[in-house]
Amino acid sequence: MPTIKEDEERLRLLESVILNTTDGILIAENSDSLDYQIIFVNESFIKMSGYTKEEIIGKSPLDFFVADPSGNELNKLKDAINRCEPCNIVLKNRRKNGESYWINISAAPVFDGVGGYKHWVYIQRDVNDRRRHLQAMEEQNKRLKEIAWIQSHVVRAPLARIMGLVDLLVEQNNNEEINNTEIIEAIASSANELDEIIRKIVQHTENVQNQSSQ
Amino acid sequence: MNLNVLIVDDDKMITLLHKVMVTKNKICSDPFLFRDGKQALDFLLAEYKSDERYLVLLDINMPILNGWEFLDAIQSERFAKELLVVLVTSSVDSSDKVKAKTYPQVIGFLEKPLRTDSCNYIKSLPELLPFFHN
Repeated sequence: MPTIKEDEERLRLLESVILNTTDGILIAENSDSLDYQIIFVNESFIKMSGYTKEEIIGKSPLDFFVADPSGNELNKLKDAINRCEPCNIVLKNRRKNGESYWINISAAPVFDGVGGYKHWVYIQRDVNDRRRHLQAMEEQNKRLKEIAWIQSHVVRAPLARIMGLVDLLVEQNNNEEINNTEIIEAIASSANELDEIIRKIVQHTENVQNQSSQ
Repeated sequence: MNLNVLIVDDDKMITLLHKVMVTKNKICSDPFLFRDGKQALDFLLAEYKSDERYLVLLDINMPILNGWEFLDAIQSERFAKELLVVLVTSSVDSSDKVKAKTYPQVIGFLEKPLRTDSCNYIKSLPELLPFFHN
């Protein structure tokens, strides 16, 4: 059996995780007839949301999550609460000062040991950086696609002309038996080589595009 | 039945080259040349004869009326069902192929420039085979 002192130490250790994590944490309690009310908020949540502890305690957690335009994410959370199931959503939230920021929320009910769920724990993570990173990557992909388009259409257009002209020259040469075939063949092989390179670039870009859209 | 060939490309050199290839490979002895979709459409509106067949070798990127706009424009015309189109572009993108499936007239794809093997490909298309069976 652990001693009371050991128990206390263990609790303090666990508490320090909640107090020191950069994730925002809310604990809500279901008090009889009332809806879930926030009974605990950590410093990170206060910092992220911009509200004071006094403004948060006693409110419903849902008061601090702004619905996305479609409402889908927040509805997912409400359904989960009704069914007493854990849930994980991403939405664009708003701070008290109006500034918006992307968050990931994991919400989980806490079993009270006697067949009910008296508490819910909400962990809110700031995913703004990840989101911005993703947007930057999407933007980059778009630009890559544009480059591929230019490669395949604009760059290849004069090349197609060269290839056609050389075909014609080779034809005429064969007819008139003029002996500069070697030069023309060298032009033809260079044009073909350039053609291969452009094709490879286009193929490569399409692969990147397909992988990132999967 | 007579097969008319329309070469539609804003690159004048390409239309001339393609004319040479089309005649040399005996697809058509006297193809019509146009530098954009509008010119080709105007020609068809004025000259189309229901007892003849028309094959359009169509570029996609052109000013005034590009290849897609040309295809959109012909859908409501009386010759929509009879017209045959082979897209001839600088580069065949997979997205272009997907888009082209929505137009029943498009029977093939080729990359510029037309060469002897591309002409053989045109002649081997099921819809065109009857014109070249000799």
